[in-house]
Amino acid sequence: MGDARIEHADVVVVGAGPSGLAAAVEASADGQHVVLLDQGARVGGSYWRHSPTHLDGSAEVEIHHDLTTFHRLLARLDRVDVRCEHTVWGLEQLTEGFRVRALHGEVRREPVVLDTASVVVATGTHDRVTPFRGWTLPGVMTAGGAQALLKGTLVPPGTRVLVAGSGPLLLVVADGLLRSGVEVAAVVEAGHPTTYAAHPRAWSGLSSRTQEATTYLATLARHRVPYLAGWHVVEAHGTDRVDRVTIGTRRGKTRDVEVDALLVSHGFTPQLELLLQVGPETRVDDDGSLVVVVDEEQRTSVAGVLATGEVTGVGGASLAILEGYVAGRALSRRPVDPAVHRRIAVHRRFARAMHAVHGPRTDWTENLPDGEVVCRCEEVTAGEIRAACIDLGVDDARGAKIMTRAGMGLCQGRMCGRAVTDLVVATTGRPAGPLASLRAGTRLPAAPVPLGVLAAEARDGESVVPPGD
Amino acid sequence: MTEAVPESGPPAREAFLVHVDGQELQAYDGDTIAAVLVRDGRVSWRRTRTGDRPRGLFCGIGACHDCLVSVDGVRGVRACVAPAFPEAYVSTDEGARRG
Repeated sequence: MGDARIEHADVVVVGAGPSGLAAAVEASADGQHVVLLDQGARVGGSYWRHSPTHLDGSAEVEIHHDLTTFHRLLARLDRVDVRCEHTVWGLEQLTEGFRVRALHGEVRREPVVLDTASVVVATGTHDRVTPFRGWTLPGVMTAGGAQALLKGTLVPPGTRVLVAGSGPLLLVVADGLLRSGVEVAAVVEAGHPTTYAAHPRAWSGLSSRTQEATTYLATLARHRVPYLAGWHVVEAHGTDRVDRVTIGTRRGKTRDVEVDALLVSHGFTPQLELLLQVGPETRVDDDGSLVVVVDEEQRTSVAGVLATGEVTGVGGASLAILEGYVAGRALSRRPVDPAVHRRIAVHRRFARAMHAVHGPRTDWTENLPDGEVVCRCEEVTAGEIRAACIDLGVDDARGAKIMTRAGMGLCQGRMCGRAVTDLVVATTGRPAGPLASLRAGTRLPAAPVPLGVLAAEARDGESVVPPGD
Repeated sequence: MTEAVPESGPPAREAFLVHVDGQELQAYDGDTIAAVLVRDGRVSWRRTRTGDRPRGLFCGIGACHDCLVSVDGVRGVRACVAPAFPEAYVSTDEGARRG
């Protein structure tokens, strides 16, 4: 593990999904040195995840979206210094500019250090899964993760699967699976999509969205896959892997479904870990997610740090691309057509309706028995967290973390942060400041880092890990 | 588990072998380590420290750290992120600790 030499860039973009790609392409247009970093082996992010042969026009099944835009961005990527397989774990404000720290290669883990004038953070989201009985059984995985496996490597997550949770992603994932020959037992949606009718303006200007939803529902109908709105997963059963799932309605009606995989998504958690290291202004979005506040040019309250896509509020790939475009134009000091801002407003309006229809439910806490694991890493149960609230006076996620180790494992509370907060609030009956609780789950580094790398940094006389906490 | 899409029709992805716990498994260009394991029919490949419970893929995009394996002696490798490569030596249930 050698010490890294410091490289220099004008702009570093973190995340090569739709938003980061658009930002990098636009920012590089005036000759600036733009470095685009991504954890994945290929650019495109989760949205445009593809196998290596896909773009060569192979015989693979078409499960991708808006490839025209992707190809257009790829064609302009030659001016960008693209670096895949780079996991960014550190963002630090220098006297002038910023220092970005990454590890190159999941196995090799070569330290990379980049000093830059500006940073665009486009780190996207991961699926949020609220705990239910049996949710740690193998074969239970996130819908987005299953989609990544299928799109990236053509390996299906199972042979007969149930797709459950809430939100439009469920339909997208079911559609992709069906096109790939996987049997989908049912799509289980906890929300009531008919309530979109309460937001009549949400769809205006978004005919593509309407078309997409119609296509997905048609695919389900063609394969005779039931779409069960108002249903949720009660329990996943099995000994060493899921083999049966009980689903139910809020009125207590239940049904069992035999499957070999359960794919779940209850919305998304924006990946703010990196951004929070420089302390920008944040807010809680309609879906309960902690997101970063940005201005019309996608600038955060920290001068030189821009944020685009899901980290500014979950709203989908089309919105993310527009935000990336705006940020890239700002960094190359070029104007943006007012029509782009109008499109952004249209997408944001839709996102608000989407959050209202599929929005966060907290009633899951009532049905979770004491014995069920909430923090997957440290295997902390619901009962331990409840006991910490009742017996030890814990009243926020931070307290729960200290007293029970919930959120202290390798994922650093990414998977359980929201769930622990919900559980603490439900147990104490006190609405603990959600902002403070969510923040407590996050600290440097933004990804686990081998000790050797930190030691090398420390030898350079710098304090990498902040004191305390 | 069978492939949803057969490896037919040009251009076929380059195939190679990886070693998993002493067994040789077929892998294809673009595979992650997790893809190789799941294609082989495995759904879990690690057991937890405290509860001794089986774990495999969960988030699938590098955030949850449930799917850790060792590769060429390096522990704590996220199988869902790490690309498979020819002659990789993958060892399961040893990857739980970083170091």
